[in-house]
Amino acid sequence: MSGSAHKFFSCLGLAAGLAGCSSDGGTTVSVSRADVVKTYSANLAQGYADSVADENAFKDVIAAFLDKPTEATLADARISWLASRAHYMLTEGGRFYGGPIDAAPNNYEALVNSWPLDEAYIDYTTDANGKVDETSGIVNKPSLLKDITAEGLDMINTMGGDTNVSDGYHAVEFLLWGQALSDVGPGERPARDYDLKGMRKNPDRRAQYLKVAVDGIITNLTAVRDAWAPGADYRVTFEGNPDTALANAFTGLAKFSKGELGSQRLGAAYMSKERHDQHDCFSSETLVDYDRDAHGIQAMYLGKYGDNDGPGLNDLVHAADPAIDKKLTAMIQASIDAIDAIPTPFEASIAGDDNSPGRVAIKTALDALFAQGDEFGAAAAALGLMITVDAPTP
Amino acid sequence: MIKTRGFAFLLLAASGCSGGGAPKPDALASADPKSGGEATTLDATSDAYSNSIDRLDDTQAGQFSYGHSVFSQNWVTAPATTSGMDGLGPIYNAHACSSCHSKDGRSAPVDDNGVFVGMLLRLSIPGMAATGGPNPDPVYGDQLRPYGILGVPGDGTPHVAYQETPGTYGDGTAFSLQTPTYTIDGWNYGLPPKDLMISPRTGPSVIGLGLLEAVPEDEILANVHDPDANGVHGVPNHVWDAAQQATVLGRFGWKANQPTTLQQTAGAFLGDIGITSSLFPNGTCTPTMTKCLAAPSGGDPDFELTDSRWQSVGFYMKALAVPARRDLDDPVALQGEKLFDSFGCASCHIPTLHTGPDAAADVLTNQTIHPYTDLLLHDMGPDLGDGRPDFEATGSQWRTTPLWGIGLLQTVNQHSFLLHDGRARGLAEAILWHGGEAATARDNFRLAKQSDRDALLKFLGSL
Repeated sequence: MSGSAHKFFSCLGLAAGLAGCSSDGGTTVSVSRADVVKTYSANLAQGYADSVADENAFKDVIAAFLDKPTEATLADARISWLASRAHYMLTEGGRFYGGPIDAAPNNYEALVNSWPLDEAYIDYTTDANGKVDETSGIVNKPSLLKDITAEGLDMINTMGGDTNVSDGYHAVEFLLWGQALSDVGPGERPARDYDLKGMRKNPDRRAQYLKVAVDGIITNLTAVRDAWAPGADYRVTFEGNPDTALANAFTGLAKFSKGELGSQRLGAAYMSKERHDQHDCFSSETLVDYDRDAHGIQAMYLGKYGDNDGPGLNDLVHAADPAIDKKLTAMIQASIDAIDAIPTPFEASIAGDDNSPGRVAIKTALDALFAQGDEFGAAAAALGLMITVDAPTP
Repeated sequence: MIKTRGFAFLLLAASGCSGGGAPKPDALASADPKSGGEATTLDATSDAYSNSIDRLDDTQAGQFSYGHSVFSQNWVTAPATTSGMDGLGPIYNAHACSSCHSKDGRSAPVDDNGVFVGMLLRLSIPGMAATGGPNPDPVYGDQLRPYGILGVPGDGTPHVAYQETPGTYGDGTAFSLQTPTYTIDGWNYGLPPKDLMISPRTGPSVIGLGLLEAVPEDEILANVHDPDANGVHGVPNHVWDAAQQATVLGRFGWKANQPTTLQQTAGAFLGDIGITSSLFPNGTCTPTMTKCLAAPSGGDPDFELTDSRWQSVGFYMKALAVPARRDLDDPVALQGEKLFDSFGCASCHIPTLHTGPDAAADVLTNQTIHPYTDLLLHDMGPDLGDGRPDFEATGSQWRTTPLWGIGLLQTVNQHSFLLHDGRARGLAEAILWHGGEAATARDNFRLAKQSDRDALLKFLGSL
């Protein structure tokens, strides 16, 4: 990647507003920046709408589980939890530019998908010697939160530390699976943790917690969905400033590829070899998330979402610099392939020496995502968007 | 995020065009957007403090990733299934670095209920430790740790009460400053001696540390001089370097009482979180703390913070970029910059320093930077004083705080509490608290017309 200093503060706006042309299936299609931005926002809006719908469906399954907590209904809830995140993961490339998902002061993202989390902030924990501490966490400590409500959980989320996570998908994940106590595989929380006749204290507070945590996800995602709805202020402003919108879109994809998916979701675990440094450490479904994340990046770049297929960022990049588009398109596919090549479960793959197949595969994927993040920067620069990219090349 | 909070490697344009890289001939020398030289980020969002510097190599990128992760995560009670991150306490102030440096920024002192969230109380008794530093209390050590793991009592509970003191600007506009009074109750290991000294400290932002570490000693010491017409004269602190086992120039911390980022980091792990390291392998339980001494260690086998984690967290902080200065086309902000100089603020908050050839990463070397600090100690008067000596710093001397990035505090950390104990509610109060060597500069601000005061604040807000 080019060095940044010489263009760091230069204003490369020359291409702004010019139409791009792409060669698509033999016909040349003229694409405007405004149309690309409209595709982007429509797809992201649909992603959040689908995420709200997913969570509402999940809410019914949780209600059934809490109504009758058995191993069978818990199994249903776990399957449904994984399904409930299918669309949200596709939206994560829309972070990191202060949009509705993560703008201060609400920062809904921190409320819905914070990880990793300190288990002892939520519920009882079992230590390495098998000793259980039933005094810990919001479930067992009314002093942390007297009445467990969705608003209350939002209030104390990350209070006193980034991993004091009280709500969101991963809090729900922990409430369904419990701590993962073995080296490999998911947690094995028994359904009777929610049974008044079970062996753990405060099943009623635990049940209330699970219920309102799901409610909170719905409320917070709904706010994000509504901010992106057609005609909503944010959406109108976003679409009204195509260059800023495009810079934001590339910012999100670049930062999510490199800083989040590459660095934090793969790189940190690669360095620490700690099974807790993975996205879904309780359910052991991490690689499902990463695959969805990577496909979400690809879809955003191509202007696709489900059956929607409009003019994409790729069309603009192709018009500006076909070589960059070709390279970036290939890199995005390569990062998906690299993630899909990581053997499951993730926690087994991070272990061992650097020549083990799992670690080689993870290193390949994280290198691909780092390079991809830089290339999104190059693509933005090709569009004349003021952007600086660091280039961690040896 | 932790990660949910968006740290990132990329330095992205969040603002509009800010003009060419080189200052115009008639511009002030410091009218430069690149506060951190090449180690500057354009990010002005709530993630503004969390961007990496440019051009990290493979190893450095790995360290940055890992360092961010460790910085953000809670330590837990040993023995835990998260074996790499266990060993909290047994007595402690916080679970994580991010507890007091949220989003790599500055913490508020207390929450709405008066609970200390990002502030700790340093303790000592008269005399001097063998290192030349503060003499720790024989029971409570050198800081109050309010919390203990299950079954281990913390030291005691800190409290702060604020009393409003009204004042007026030169034009008659009223202001009010809140004066804190600190007390401690619930001492769990017996009453401390009556001459116990207390110094409150909030967690500062951790941006640009690699640049400050790369400023050559000669450049810092070149700013040491006899008192000027206003009595301003910075002096260095000389402090103990535990790795070198020698007394060296201090440059980090509220009293410049730490020599390096790595030592500051290991010290905070031990003191604040209770995590031992190869640099500080001994825990903080003192002989009468029997339950503390009996608690299991997370050490594997000798200390709790592996060198790999320590080095990664240290590198992470050194590699955090500095936000670019904004509003370079705003005449009010530029007027404020001139006033910053003419009021005398720039006598200590020196706009420009230079880094040398030795640094933790390439882009940190040989940079012209604008930290607005001389990294020296100044007497700030009795109102700000803590009465507690710290190496060569007296009870009324403080290190000039770097001002880069200060304009983004509200954006990143959602508060505007400033000064060593967060007593100032915003920039104006922080200035009005200045005394001692800064009394003249403070009065120049206080007595200025409102439009000039506003311009100065606008300038500071652009940093």
